[in-house]
Amino acid sequence: MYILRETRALQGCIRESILVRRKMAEYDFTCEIIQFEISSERKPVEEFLSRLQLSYDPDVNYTVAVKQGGAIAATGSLAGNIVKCVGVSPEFQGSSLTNTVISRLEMEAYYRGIDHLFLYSKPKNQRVFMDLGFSVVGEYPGEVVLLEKPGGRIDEWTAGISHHKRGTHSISLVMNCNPFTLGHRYLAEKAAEAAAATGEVVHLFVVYEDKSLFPRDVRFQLVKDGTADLSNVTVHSGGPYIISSATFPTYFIRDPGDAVRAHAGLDLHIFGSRIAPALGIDRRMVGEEPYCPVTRAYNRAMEDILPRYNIIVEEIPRLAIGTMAVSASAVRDLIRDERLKEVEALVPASTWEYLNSEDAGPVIEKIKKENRRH
Amino acid sequence: MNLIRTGKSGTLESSDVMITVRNNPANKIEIKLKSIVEKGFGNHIRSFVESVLEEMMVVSAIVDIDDRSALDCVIRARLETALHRAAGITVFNWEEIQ
Repeated sequence: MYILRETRALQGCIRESILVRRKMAEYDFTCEIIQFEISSERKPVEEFLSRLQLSYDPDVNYTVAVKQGGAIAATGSLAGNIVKCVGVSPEFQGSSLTNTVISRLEMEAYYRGIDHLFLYSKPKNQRVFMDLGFSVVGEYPGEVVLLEKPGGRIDEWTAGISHHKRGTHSISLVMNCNPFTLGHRYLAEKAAEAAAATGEVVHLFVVYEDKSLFPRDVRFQLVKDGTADLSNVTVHSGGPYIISSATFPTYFIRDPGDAVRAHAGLDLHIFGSRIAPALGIDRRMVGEEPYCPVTRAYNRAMEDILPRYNIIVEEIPRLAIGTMAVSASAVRDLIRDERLKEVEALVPASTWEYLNSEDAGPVIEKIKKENRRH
Repeated sequence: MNLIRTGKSGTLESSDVMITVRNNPANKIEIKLKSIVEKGFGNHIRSFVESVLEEMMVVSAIVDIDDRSALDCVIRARLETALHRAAGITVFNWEEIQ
């Protein structure tokens, strides 16, 4: 039996390897790294992708191309932990050039210390990538699918937080807290009160992505300190699945373009289908957004999508002190204008203490130099 | 052999296999196999991988396998390399490796 199996495998293998050798010899493929900083190397990739109705993303930092006689037959890129701009020329579809491209990208990512990859695909192409070990994180039906590799990481992640689940009713909050202000505190209190009335709990997620002026660990710690007295509030890290550069890449860019709608939708579909069930979440509270158009678009999408997963969305008016709506961006503006003293009225004691500590020095310097949304 | 980081080796080309190993917090062996010859050889590949792990004295690992119909000798080579990388071993003891 064993011998028979081996023989069959061997036959299959010989046949396969002959095919590969024929493929490589007949078509004379080579796989190259593209020096995308050089326009004579970048141009052909751009043109190749545009023929496939794809664009060459400006934030890619590694590109490979399979070429035949100097012409591109297939290409793919990495932008951090995201696989992007994968395309195969129609005449070579079926000759598994996607495998070559993904293999190269995956090993390069590995050597860069990235062991978790994401990839966006049109729903009709997702099978190709699932055959290569990717699995679906979430889908914005008809528009875009987010896949990850190793497959099933999101299940491991939700399993890791699911011991915080208390029944099938609970309230969730998602905040970046850059930094934690009385506005965030007000929202957390509102949620804690509402939950306490029916014996429920609050799950507060802090955005994990480290792209804000206040570093990730600081933001997380200030939320923990600032809500420590609210006994039914659990603070979680949003991990790679809530408003991350994978689920919502455009959140971290200022321009509220068309992509925001799709990305916001994707993020919310993942929240509704994967995260909410793991923790028994059936309500999401969110602060009204008077300033930032991206956050406002996200709130609108929330009202549209989450009810489909039986999650009630409640928008809470902003806390105002005097005539000023309390927000993290208002705090950063005051810091930028050298009016740090006025910040004391807008933040809890724990945040105020941090802002006056030595650790905050470099962060405050950074705020003064930059003008960023989040 | 202790896995201190993720180890990866191989390609997704036909007749090859891409193997990723990492430590398992649950302290056991967990094999996630995806193979184009799953139907005919899935069980064989799983038990073969288990036997190599045992040989290498690995008791806790999550092993992700993307198999494109690789022969056992190829699977062994890719797995041993991935394990060495995961264990942070850069000097190979060729006599010990069978």
